[in-house]
Amino acid sequence: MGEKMCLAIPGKVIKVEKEFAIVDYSGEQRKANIELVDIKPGDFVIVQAQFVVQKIPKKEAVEAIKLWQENIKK
Amino acid sequence: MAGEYKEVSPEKYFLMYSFPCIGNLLHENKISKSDASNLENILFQNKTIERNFLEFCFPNAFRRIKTVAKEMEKNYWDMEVIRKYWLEEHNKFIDLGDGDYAKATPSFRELCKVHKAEVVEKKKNVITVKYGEVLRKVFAKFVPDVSIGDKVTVHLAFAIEKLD
Repeated sequence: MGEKMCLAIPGKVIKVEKEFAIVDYSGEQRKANIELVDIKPGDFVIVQAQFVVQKIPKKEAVEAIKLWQENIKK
Repeated sequence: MAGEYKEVSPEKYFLMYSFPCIGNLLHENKISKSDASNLENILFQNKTIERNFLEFCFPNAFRRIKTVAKEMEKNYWDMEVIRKYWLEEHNKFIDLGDGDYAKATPSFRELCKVHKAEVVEKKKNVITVKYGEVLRKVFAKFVPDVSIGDKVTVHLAFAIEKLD
């Protein structure tokens, strides 16, 4: 994941462990605290400052990720 | 307490609202790590906050605030201007897709808006707030004394101030 990654890009929850989730960004995985949002594996989320702050509808998340991937190829 | 904004400087008030965004700016390399930690230190240790430094770290917000100030025919550091920006105008700029918001998805735009909400649950440092049909948990770091039923503003992961 490049340093230019915008935080508006949703990640996909692949695992939930106690108070943390493992969030995947097109292959790169990050750990995020889930104190603020109830989530389960498969959910798409926005992470801010290592905290999951919002769950995103799948359709919107997939579109945002696709758009972002097209942009970084340019 | 409500009306607390009257007791803080416009610099501190601005930084309370912009604080939740520091992580985003850092992430996008718009500010450095030392700038980010300086901002957090001056906010939480009640140090003097330099206007130039805030304007350097948040150029987009100040570009918008200057527009609001012009309409109000006031100095852009006037508390009324800063408050009007965060409580009313900030969301309008987001809806217009100003600056980086043009690229943001609908959910992210809603997250970036300042919402006026009611406290419906409180657990230690986390409160649940409600606005419209939305229920959200946010940190109560800036409003540790709120009770259920109080009205607060929320910005990203934080409740910012108690409203009258």
